[in-house]
Amino acid sequence: MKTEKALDIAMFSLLNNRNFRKITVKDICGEAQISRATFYAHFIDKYNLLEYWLMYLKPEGINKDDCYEQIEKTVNQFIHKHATIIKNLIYDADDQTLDILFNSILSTFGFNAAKYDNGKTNPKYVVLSNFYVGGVFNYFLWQVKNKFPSDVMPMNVYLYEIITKFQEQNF
Amino acid sequence: MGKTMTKMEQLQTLKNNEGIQYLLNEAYKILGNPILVHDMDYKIIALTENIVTDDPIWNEFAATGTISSDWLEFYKNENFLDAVANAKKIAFLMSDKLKYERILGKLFNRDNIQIGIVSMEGHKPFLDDIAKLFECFCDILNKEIATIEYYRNYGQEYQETLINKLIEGRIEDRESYSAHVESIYMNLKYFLYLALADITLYDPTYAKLPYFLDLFKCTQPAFKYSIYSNYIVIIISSDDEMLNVKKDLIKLNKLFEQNNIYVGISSCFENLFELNKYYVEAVNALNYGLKSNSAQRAFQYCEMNQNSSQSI
Repeated sequence: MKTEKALDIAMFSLLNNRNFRKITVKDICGEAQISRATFYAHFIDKYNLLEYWLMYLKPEGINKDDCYEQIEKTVNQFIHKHATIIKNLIYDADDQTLDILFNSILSTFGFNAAKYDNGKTNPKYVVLSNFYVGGVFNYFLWQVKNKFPSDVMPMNVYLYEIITKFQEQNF
Repeated sequence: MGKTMTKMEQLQTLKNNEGIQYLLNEAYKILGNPILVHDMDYKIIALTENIVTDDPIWNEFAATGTISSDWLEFYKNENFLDAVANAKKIAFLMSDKLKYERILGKLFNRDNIQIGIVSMEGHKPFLDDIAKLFECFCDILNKEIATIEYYRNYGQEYQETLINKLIEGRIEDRESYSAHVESIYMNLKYFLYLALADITLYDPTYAKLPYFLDLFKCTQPAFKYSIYSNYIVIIISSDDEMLNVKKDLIKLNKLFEQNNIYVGISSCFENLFELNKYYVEAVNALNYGLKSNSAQRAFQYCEMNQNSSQSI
């Protein structure tokens, strides 16, 4: 675990200073003071490390009873706490990075929402989760592109209203 | 009264060309800690003679000539293998589960092979400046090993075998091999390509493969080589993500031309543990190039894809 921890810290440090696209495995190894072979003994590439790293970056689990309210809170906290990192992850990101980010957010928020129905996976909530995460993800992108405007009502409030409507109509 | 020599000065008086065993015995007298040298398969090359200790790993090494898989697993779980792979020269190995603390050094045999050297406490605690002293002793042993042809050959053969294992995807426990694979990365630039040289048109019997392997090594020693499935495998490196065959292979191109050798080159990669994927790419690039009746000698996988999409 020492190696993973060292890589975890290195990734955090590098992402605070530059775009993910410009970070190479050599940079990560240099920052973590490990050899290239050791890196590749643990991870396939930098994207694989990013997936692992995002697992630990995500916020606390979401309670069944206040699922969407919790999401609303955590999204806002997450964006503001990690604004620089999100910017460096999203800015000029390639498809693979965006895909990893989307799936990470999906597993953080969406999968929990998918289990909302008495702890069982319900297809309609899976659809809703994807829909919601799509919104959250684009909200991230939009915030970054617009330099985090503070005078805009958070998009997840709108999303919450939309989802509630869907639920009321027995989507 | 003459001035007392420091431990460092005493080490520096050790003579080369007297053999590894002599050096280990003499270093023990100076440092007070027994020393063991093993190859990359954890087989003993030499160890300080006549050591009586209650250290279980040392005793297993001394009795069997190698280390059991249980101890190797322990090394892995305690992160020792990563520590060794990451160390530039030496690493300290400490754990509550180890009877005695250890210091481990890496010996580089002409940048090819890393040989492990282990010393431990037990008879005597490590000196305060053991790190510097041990590094110095590693340098002395490096010089000694470089003079022994057997280890030079062993180093080259080991690396070729390792490249072939990677091509076959036979390395499942990557952590155990990270120090070994690191020896392939040494002296290579950042971006890697796998090239396969096909000598069929020069020699359909492939008897000349070892000859060409040596010739390539002498011509371009910065790359890494092996023979696999009647091809000469070349691990090429470049500073650029786009390989420039004329520039990056300038020394080898002439040999390809003169000896009617065709070459298939994979796309760019970084992870040597994924070598098997890039071998397939290089085979495909070579086969595609040979069928295309092109005047080129070297065919790149990325160009093959471009040409295919253009023809579609």
